[in-house]
Amino acid sequence: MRRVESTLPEKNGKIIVFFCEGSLRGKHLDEHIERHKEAFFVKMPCGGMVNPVVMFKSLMDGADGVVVYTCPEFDCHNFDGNSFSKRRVFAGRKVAEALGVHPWRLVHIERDPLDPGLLTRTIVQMSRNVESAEVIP
Amino acid sequence: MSLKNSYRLSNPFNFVINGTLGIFDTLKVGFASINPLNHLGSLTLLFFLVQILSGFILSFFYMPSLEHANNSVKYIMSDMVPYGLFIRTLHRYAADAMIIFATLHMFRKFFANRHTSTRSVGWYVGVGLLVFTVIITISGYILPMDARADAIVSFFGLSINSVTFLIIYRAIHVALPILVFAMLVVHFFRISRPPIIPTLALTIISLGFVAVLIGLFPIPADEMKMKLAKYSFDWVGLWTIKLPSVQISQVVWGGIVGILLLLPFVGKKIKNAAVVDPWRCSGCLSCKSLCPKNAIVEKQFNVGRGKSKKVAFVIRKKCQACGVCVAGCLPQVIELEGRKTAPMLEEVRDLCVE
Amino acid sequence: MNSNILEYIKETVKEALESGKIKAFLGYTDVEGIPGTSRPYLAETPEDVDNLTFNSFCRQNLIRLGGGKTNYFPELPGKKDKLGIMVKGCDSRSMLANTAEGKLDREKLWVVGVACPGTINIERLRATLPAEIKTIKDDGTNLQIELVNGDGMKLDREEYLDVRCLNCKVTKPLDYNFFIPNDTMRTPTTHNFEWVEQYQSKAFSERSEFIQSHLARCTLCFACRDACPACYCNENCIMDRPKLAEPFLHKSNELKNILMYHFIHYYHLADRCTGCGECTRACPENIPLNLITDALGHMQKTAWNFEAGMSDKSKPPLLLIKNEEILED
Repeated sequence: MRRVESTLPEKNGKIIVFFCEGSLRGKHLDEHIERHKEAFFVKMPCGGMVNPVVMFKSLMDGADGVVVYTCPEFDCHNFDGNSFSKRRVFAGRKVAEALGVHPWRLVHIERDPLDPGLLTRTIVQMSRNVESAEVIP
Repeated sequence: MSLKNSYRLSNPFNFVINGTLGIFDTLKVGFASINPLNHLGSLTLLFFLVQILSGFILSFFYMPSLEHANNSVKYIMSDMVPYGLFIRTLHRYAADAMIIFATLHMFRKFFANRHTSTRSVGWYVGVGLLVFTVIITISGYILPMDARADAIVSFFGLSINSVTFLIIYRAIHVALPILVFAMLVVHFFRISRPPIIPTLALTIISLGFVAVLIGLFPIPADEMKMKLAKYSFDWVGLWTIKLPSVQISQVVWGGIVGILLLLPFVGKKIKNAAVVDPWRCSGCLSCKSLCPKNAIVEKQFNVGRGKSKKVAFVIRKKCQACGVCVAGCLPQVIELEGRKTAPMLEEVRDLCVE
Repeated sequence: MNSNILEYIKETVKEALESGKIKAFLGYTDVEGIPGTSRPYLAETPEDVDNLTFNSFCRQNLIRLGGGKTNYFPELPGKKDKLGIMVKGCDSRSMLANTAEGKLDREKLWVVGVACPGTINIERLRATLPAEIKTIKDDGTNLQIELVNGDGMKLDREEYLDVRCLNCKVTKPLDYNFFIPNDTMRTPTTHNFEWVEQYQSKAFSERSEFIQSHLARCTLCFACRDACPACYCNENCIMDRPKLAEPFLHKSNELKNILMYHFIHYYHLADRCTGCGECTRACPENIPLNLITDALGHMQKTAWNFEAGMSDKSKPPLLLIKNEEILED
């Protein structure tokens, strides 16, 4: 029987954050880039352009986790971009789970005006999970 | 300059072809294969080839010297040379036809917004071709050395002798067309599959039309007299010498060329939008139901051989470049200008691998 | 499976072809020399109808050939020209799903719905037998097999059913122009996602190891995509464009590329999969892809209260702008 030579990429502590232009900008973006050395920030025109295929691709390229950060619901600059994004990431998470990739490596969060530390907490939690090998088998 | 970062310009006169007036589109309806408005550029090339061929034949009988020029043209127009009169008239009428079609071709490409961005190379070369064509035409009217030639020579203030005459013949009327041939190659350079040959029906119709015109109005033989007070004037090729003076004509032509060369830079910047590749679109129109701005409509796309298929089409004006359709397209045929998927993936991969 | 039903089908189809109601009929025929196998067959004249067959070895989803993949679809230039097609319960769901997405013209089809007795996984059966099969017959409860070496045996057909048929919800087609009843029709189940919940209650690492050890056999032959009735992009599919697929997928044996391909395939099907089981049937490596498709069906049901292909009106949830009944976890 044919065997697969290599296995999935090993954990390297990197997290990709796809954020929409409306949710993170100016000095907030600079602050986040300063604070999280392990995270890489990729700008998107809108949360609606975040494709789970692209997210899964970055997991397969070696990232430990992917966070999608969008505007709050009903506050999208393009009407429904974030609700699409939310639903797609949910579907992508389920497919990833069925394929044996931990679903919590794909996370969608919305900017909450009352909770400014949400993104930071999510990234820290995710990297902690990765360290303790809870997420990556 | 990398074309990747250059932005596209929209024509300020775009309303003529696409907008409220839509003149060219209206005229194009029906008889597409024989409608000359569909084949302006290729008709120009056809008449240029006619010019080359008829000029080649005329050069057997024409004597390029100050003394014999007039007599040799008379000889060509006499019965001694078979079809001599026909070929000389053809050489003159086809020149006018070439200028007319070249000008129309220029207007059409301008109104269709085909002069900016990657097409600008063809536009600049085309302006040069227009100027050269006019110069060749004017020089051609000097060659018979008749009353009209005298008028041209006196307008430009030239002192004509045997040497300058030879220069006009060799350097302008023979060498420039060869340069034009070389420039045509550049003119077709950036266009994939340029339709440079008119349809057979249109070729026959246009050449037949010119032949009938020649049969009805051949050049009268008495026009070749040296001192003639009144001669038929060619307004298409020679309107320049009707201007009051040489200086004014220089200003006029400088203005025309300057405006034409500046046109690719005039216009307003088009914003980014999603673009559908119609060749690969499967026509499922899931993007249509996704679009929050209703910017995507159904359209029939002509795939050749008389067949067409249903594709999605993005209306640029309405598109907000949010990218919802890009992520929703299953065969990934929609790309967002300024944020393409493949470079983004490479960017992410570089971040992960480094 | 009694022969009366087959004759009934043939009579009906012959009558429809002779009266000009349909231009051609897409059904099944036996593969000569290989007992227990059938292939799709296009009957264009009344004489061709005699070659038609229907039994529990007719496993293909004809909607993929009749509606989705256009090069099998005969040219029907006239407005009223119709193609006759034979559908089972699961095929009718694919048909409705494709109609809802505007990919199939229901007016162009004349549908003969057959009550489905469940299909037999002949490959699994063959692997267990000591010799080649000479004849095989399905009487509704048992499989009567005669082998090449002369042995005869009687096997319980429940054991050799396709996985999709064990928890089948739609054994009677949902939409048809002409229905052919069958005594041996399976009784539909209502608790069709029960075993998915059981499976998902296992530890994640256990599930992950199981599916990835199976997926490691994948050769990226794309048979699951080619058989899928919901994959209607055909030649436009990104996987067939090496230049475009390159950033997503390098065609090599690495597990990450295999996972990437399956993610693209099943993410595209996330809201549209009807669970017809064609990918599982088509897989030459016998990868249990039904684990993934049933997880998708379960997700559609629990998160969106939606089941693909149950009506020709409902649009896939990922295409809807506002969905009031969205019940995510």
